[in-house]
Amino acid sequence: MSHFKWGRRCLATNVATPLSNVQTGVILSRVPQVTPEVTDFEQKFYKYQDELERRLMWTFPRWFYFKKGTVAEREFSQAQKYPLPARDGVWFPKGKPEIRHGRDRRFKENIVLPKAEGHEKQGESSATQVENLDDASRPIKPLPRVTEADKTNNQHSLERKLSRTLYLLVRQNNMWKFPAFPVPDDSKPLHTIAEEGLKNLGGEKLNVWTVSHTPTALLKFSNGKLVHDLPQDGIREYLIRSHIIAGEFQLNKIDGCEEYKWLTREEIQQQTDPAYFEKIDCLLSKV
Amino acid sequence: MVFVQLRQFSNSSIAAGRPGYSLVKPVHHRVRIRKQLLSPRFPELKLPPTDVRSPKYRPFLVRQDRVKEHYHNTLKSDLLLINYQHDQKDVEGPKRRKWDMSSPYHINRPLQKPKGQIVPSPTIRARTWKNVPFFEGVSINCFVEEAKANPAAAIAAQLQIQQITNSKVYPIYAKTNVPTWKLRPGMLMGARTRLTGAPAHQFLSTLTELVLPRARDFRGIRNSAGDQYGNIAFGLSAETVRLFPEIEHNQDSWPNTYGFWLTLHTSAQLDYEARTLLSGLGLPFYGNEKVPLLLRQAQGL
Repeated sequence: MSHFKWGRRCLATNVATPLSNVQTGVILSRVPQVTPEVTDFEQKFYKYQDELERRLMWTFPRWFYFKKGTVAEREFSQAQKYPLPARDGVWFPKGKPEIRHGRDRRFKENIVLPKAEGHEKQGESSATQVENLDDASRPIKPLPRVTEADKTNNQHSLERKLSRTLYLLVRQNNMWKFPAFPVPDDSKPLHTIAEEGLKNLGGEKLNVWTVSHTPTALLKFSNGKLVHDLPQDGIREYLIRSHIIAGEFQLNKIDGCEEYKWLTREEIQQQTDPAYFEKIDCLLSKV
Repeated sequence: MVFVQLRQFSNSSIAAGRPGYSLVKPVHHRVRIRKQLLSPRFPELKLPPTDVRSPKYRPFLVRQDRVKEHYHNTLKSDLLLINYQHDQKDVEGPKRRKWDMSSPYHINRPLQKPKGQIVPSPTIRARTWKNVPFFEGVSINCFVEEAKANPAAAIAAQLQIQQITNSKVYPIYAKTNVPTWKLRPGMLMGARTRLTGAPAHQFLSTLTELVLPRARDFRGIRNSAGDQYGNIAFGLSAETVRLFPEIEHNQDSWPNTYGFWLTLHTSAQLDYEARTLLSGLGLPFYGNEKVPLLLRQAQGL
């Protein structure tokens, strides 16, 4: 999509850097797989607002969903818990009920779906019961947000910290950093070299998507250290942003890479050099 | 002597037995008086709808918004990078032109049409972190042809749209007179609605996760769809509408369903940016990408 050029670029005015001093780095991230964790306050706020919305909702139009005189209507009506109507001479501790269409309009309406036949057998263990997929009232069982990799803190696993963005960090030339690959010649653009480098580093099973051909940042190295002003023989590392879509990262020890980890922003802060983290902090997602 | 100028009404019209009028524009009744604010009877009607005590109050932040969070946590930074170009400049869209005042008749004449087009085009601003495109909402337009012969079909379509979107639905009336189609102005023809915020996100995720993956006739949105300025429209057939869970789980009540048009509104300035955003939100696209006219003009292509 980004191949539309807005204006012709001027020729570079400064002296061209030799390609041996250019590297292309990759910020390979695994995007969040589940919704972020909500704080206690947010949870309470949403609960309150949700209750308020349910209180203000219209009464459930049962005459639309259940035609009069059908078996479904009878089952539905029997399953409901109807509120007690107001009576003279009776004191209601929660106030006098105002009932319209079988609903106390002071409170939210609780709709009970009639239980299907499979649910009526109590005492049977859930393992023996076959789950009836046609039954709309079967209990919803969400998968756990905490995975096996979370429990063992397996930092090689992509299934850890599902609600956070994980970044691939490698120990390259005894420094924890984003993987970087040398640029052999000017026949290929930076993002292609990054994609091919990732394939060589992580194996053929890796399925990645490069976000843009434009590098997202430039890191300047001199003698393996980050510098602000680049000397003549310093190394320019252009960072290409990329997402892992599918597959598995299996490290081949090339380009001086010895180890890898999938880490969140806070873990990167602990793992990397403070000077390096300061440079890349703005590139990392806080979620 | 104090001279008070009174508004003079035409005497000739009074003589002719017609009510008089003045060419002087009235200064009163310019401020709309809302009588509900004057009446002491219903104090709760004076409250703004954002106040919890107001009868119009509806809570809107009721749960986590998955689509919104995905946009802010993942898509937004990617979209900024994708749409970024070095040395980006504003591309001025053709605007209405001033007359050169060579003729005295040019005074007070409405401005000339923009060069080469009838309506002016907006200026395309350079992309910065401040104007990353976002999903604004979706409007649904259901025009039912059967409603010409059977007006009840339009009401059924209204009910269907209301059921799918859980929002207030407005009727559509025919505007034109087409005798060969037996269409006359004022005929009730269908339903429309507009979703924004959390309901729009809910609708979008239902569409992309439950409906479109199971639709047999849906290949994706054509790349040629779009109004040039970031709003993309496509249609759903009557069979596809059956896949919405609200209708699928209550098949008996829906002997007929009606297809409709969806317009996805984004804050993108050009269609290809809107397509990038929407594909990030899970909508597939197919076909050849078209270079926007404004960009072609800007580059002299």
